[in-house]
Amino acid sequence: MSEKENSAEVIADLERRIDTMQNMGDAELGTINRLDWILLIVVSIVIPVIVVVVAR
Amino acid sequence: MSGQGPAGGDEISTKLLSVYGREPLLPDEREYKTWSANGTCFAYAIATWCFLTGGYAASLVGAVQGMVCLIAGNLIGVFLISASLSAGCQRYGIEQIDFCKPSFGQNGARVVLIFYLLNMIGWSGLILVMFGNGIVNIVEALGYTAPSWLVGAGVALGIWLTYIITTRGVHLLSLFNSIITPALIVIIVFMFYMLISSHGWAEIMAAEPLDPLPSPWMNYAVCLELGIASGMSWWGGIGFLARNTKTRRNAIYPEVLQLGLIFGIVCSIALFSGLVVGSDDPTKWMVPLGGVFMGVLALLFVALANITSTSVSLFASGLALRHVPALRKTGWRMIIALTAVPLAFFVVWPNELYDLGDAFLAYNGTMHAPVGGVLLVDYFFLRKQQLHLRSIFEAAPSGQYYYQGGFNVLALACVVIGQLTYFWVYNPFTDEAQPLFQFLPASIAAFILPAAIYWVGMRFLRIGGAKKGGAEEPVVADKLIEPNI
Repeated sequence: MSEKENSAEVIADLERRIDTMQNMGDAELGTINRLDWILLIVVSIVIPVIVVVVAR
Repeated sequence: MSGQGPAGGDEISTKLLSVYGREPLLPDEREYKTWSANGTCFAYAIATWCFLTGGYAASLVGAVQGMVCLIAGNLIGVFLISASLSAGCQRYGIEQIDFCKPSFGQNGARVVLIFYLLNMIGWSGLILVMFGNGIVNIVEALGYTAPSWLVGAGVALGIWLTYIITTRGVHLLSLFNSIITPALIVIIVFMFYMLISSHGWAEIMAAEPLDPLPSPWMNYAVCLELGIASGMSWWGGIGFLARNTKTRRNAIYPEVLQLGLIFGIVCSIALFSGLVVGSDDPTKWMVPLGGVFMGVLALLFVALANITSTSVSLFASGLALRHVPALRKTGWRMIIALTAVPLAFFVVWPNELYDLGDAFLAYNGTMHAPVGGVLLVDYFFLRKQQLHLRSIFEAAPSGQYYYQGGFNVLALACVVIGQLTYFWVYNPFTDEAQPLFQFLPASIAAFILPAAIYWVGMRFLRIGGAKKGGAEEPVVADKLIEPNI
């Protein structure tokens, strides 16, 4: 395969991947909802900040 | 692909461009499910740096304050730095320098790339020296005298092992971690049990810090800064890990749990041992506590975990090198070999370069916070988690993320402002600090201020050179004009 053909194949593959990923939804990528973010913020920010202030 | 194995040859196939290149990684190509994502994050987190971080904390504060600073600080730092990266890199299957393009611009992201590579290679070199020191420690624990060249030889061995793992792909890395991770868990729990049974909880809690600064509040503030900066220092590996996860939850939870919580806990164990034994050197307490067999076994697995950490760093660095046009189609083995070349300096001058590590790490710490602040605001608040993927791979000025000359000057200026803010609040080289440092860690100040300036500039003033037509406006181009891959 020539370099030009190889390059065209790479770009075609990239275009395909871009279209696939751009249009993909929760079914394929898994969900992370508002409750997850609240839990993460509480565990990673709120509780640690409270503990840091109390222990100061 | 020339058929020379999974990553060999001078050219790279379209299929392998996704795994060993920058193309968006499709879900079925991703390696990490729940267990492997947690295992890799765990093995990435648990390396000798835990003991160094815990040991440094022991010089400043006691057990309770140290534990609070290390665990809470790490959790805060990891979450702030990984929220946007893990969400974005997982959602679009992209590596993290590509993720920087919407905020920094096509060429601006390359500025981040330079710092990124320096950071990753520097970290890798330091970890490999720790690996070499681990070998020396094992030899000495067995009663032999280690020759002076053994550290450098250990670094060379570490480079070779890392090369082997990294060139064979994420699957081997995952397999390697599936062996290392359970062993590390058992050994760390055993060592903690031995520490408690030998010295007792009361002795640990009552132990005084080893070498505190004159001001009590300063010790606490510096230790908290150490915890937060340690959490933020995972920035380099987050994108790689998230890109390879199959689900969104697997992209963020393992990072917070393993790189934040577990890392903080293991650092705390090192803190406790440092306080009662008076040293941050694992050999000073692992062998006496666990006996020669368990002590050496523990040292061996911690040393191997350093190889895991370096492999993740080199893999991410190799992917990032794909941004260099001349290396876009280079074989994966050659890419990793090129990434490993600067590490040869650590073979020749391991201890000399290791002694410069503190300054290197302190400087890197000032980079992560502002870059993280800009990325978080850009992804969540400005673009509402919607990127135009085609524009990330579009080098033509018509792309949405081209800005002016390929640079978003506002984002780059925010990084500089963040660094200046960091040094103004707290100078890690001189330990000089503003009174504000008592209430606001330097990393948080260097995160919030650039994030706020960036948000105002992009949202209201459009001073970043952004085109009229943000992420919320209709996409025009439906084909790449000048692909940057």
